[in-house]
Amino acid sequence: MTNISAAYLLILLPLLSSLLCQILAKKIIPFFIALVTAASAILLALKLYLQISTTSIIANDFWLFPLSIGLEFKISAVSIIFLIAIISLKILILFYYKQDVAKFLNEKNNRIFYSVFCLRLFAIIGILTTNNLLNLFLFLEIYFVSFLAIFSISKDQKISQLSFHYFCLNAAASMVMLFCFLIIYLIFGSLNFDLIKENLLLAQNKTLLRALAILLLPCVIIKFFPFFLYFKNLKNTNLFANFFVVDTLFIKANIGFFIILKFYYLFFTKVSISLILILFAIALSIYSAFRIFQNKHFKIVAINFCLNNFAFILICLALKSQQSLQAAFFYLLNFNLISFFLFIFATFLKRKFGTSLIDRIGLIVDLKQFSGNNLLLLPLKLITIFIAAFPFTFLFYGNWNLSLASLQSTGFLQYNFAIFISPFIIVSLIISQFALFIFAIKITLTSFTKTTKNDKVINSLDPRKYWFHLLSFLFIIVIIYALIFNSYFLNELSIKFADSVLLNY
Amino acid sequence: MNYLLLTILIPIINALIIGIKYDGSQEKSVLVDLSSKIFPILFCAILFGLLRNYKNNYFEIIEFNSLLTFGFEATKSSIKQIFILAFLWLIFMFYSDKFLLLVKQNSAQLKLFLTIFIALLNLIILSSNLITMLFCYSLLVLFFIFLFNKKLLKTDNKLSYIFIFLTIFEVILLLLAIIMTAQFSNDIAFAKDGVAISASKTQTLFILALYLGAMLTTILTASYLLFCNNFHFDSLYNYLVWPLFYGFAKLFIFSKIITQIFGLGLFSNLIPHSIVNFIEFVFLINILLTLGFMLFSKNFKSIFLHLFFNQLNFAFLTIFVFAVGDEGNISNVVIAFMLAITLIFIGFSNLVLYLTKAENKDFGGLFYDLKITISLMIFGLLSFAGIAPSVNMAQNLSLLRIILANKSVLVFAALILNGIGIALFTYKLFFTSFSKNVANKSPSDKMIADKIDNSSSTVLSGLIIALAMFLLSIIQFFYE
Repeated sequence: MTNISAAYLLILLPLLSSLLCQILAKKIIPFFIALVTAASAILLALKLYLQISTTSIIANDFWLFPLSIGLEFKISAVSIIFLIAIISLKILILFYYKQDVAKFLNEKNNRIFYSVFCLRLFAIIGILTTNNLLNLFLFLEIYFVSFLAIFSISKDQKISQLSFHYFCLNAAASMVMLFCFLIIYLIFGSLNFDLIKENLLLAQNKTLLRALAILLLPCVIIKFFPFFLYFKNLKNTNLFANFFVVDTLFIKANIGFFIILKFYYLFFTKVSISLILILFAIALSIYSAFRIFQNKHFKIVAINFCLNNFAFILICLALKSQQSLQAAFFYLLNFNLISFFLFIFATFLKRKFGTSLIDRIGLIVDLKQFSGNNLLLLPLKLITIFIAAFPFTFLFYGNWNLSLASLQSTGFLQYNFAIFISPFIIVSLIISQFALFIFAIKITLTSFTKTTKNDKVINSLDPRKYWFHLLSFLFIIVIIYALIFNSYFLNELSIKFADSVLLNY
Repeated sequence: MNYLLLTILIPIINALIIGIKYDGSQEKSVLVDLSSKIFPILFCAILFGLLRNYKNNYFEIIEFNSLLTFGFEATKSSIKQIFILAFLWLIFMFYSDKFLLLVKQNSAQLKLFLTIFIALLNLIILSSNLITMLFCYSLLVLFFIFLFNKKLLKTDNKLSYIFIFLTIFEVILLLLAIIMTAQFSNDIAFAKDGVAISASKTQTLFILALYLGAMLTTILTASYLLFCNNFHFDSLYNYLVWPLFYGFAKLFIFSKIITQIFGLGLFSNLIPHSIVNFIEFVFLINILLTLGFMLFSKNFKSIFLHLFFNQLNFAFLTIFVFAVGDEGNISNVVIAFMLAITLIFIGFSNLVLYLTKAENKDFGGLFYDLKITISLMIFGLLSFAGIAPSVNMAQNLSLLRIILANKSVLVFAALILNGIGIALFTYKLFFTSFSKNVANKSPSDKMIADKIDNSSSTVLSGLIIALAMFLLSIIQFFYE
């Protein structure tokens, strides 16, 4: 199989699987179709990555004329890394919610769920691989519209209301985005990213760039980072509420990071908003650190943990140096693994044990040594050092590289503000580190305390009823520790990621 | 046989065994008792193997890049410190058995805490670079704070948490210092004569300030005073695990950074005279402050903590002066401090145990009932004062030599005040115990005193430490 055909297969396979899920809808067949599709996508992505290690880019060659014109793609190391990360998350979410989906949905809705899952996978792969502005818009719309199909089967009034609000905002954002893309086409005469970039570099008119940026920025926030929706839905224990938050918070955010990476370096090569971005990100990191420190609810802390990660990713992107982009890689890894784990663990506690208070976590442990409840806390105990950003964790690698990047400030040499911005970045790192250490202490205090006979133990479900969730948690832990013990490989990957961004974007 | 790996694993395995067996109950476990006796002995035996085979002995677990590696290494100086650690482990395990029988404490829990501390300290001592040391030290701080919150502090005094926050702040400062070191030297592995920091004098001073902040913030800001007077520990044995080992870790890390990151040569030329005087002044104030609390405190348990922080301040000052003067054996300061404070701890815990159980809590004539305990305590205290023939005396003489050479008035004042203060404190504490004109104690009180004082653990532990202190002083006099 050539690389081009592998790329086409990668993009089109989920679309075919989506159709298959509708046709072969008996029992658990749709689940397996979705699972095999996602697994195949990862394998194809890995195959392409091996090729990219030597050629650096895979782009369609226009020999397959209609398909090539219809599907302009350009795959770099960055796209593959994001692809693997997002598809891996999708697989984890698929496993994690499998039991709940089977219980909650009838056969017809079950079919719709997995079909939409594959359709969204198709859209995601398209977004991450496309090299054409119109295709990008098309895949974005497929992604967001298919999301609404999930809400149609949610059977929850609050979620329906929320999805309607989101639909309205999203529709407005899509209109504005389409308008901006049209302007770009009219001015540059092309929808190809490479040609647009070349023309932008030659363009003298900075006002246009600023106007486009001002219009696109709120669209990106609404489409990819609608955090206000998360906070409205926090207390809802409905399956789809949780699914919605997890999918929106992690999958959308990852796509959002990719889009920001692509467009930030595209539009702002000549006009820099780095300083504004860094100051905003510092404010966000300090705010989220304060919320982590002050809050007692695991779910809210988990979300603020994500926000904190997000803030540092923005700083890394704004600094635009080899080392800062390496830091961004590790923050992304931390976001996708540690933040993800914390969030689904928090939602699990709320749904199954009726509590998400950090202080009450220890009370789910009963007195038997190797019972399911005790095993349940094991992943949380093992992840404590990652929360506290101890050395040789993802967050530590990110902080290390970001600190060195801000001290070097090579991306900032042409600005007078370089001397002043480094201390602010370091201070925000200190404050975040402090808050995270306190959070880790709270987790340690609650999860490492053995109860006595007089303590009131929260009655739990039979552990056999959540063995699937438990396996998911343990699986994530195994991945995390396996990656840490292969830190050399991670470092090499981060260097490739940084090089690819600097070269291609 | 990989002796280094075994040295790392033995305390960890022991902690795991006790941790798995410990189920929160007060029942004795044969496995816990057996393992807590066998493993320290095994550890000591392995150390002799390590001593013979320490050259080129390096063990790496994670490699991120050439700078960031998680690895361990045995060097001559680290083996010396581990021998002291092994010695203390044996002493405390042996002493605690008898002590805990008398107190009816949950021995498994306390042995677990002790073993975890030993394991973490062992890892800190064997760390091959700053990052590995930071990881192990962060674990130690996390564990220490866990104990502080869960086991030790019962009263809800919010001011006490300032100490905790400053401890966390110190860890973050240490991380910053390491980042700056990496930035300017591109090397964070420990080296015999320090790493080559290619930075301007101002930048190097800034890095040093970060390290000093990381080690000394809680000590120099006297934040410990916020909780010293506002707590009650549930057992004096709990004093053991956190102040003793917390102090040991800080002293060890401080001395290692000075000798193997900056190097004594660089350190002695780096700091301007005015800043040296300022730091010495701050130490002097802290020593005076803690002396004052020691002398005037009425709470017998908190006196021990005041004494601990008083001598910790003095130990830090001694290391600092030795480093600035480029003279004196810095690693011996850590050893001297640990031996003396351990000896005093044994004495204090015996005293507190007696005073808790006895009907007549009067100190009058107590010496005649607790001869061994009080003698050991007096020896320990006078060692701190630099009067008793021990390694502390030898160290104080080295300090005096540097003071006379550099004409350091502040350090001289600290030395004299320390000696006088401790002597006064000893006098105040034990003067009445020598009095013979007191009412006779009841037979039950005499029996309690006899049981405590003549227990083999007290006799053996205390005498061995005192002997070790004496022998080390002879070694220091003749060989160094």
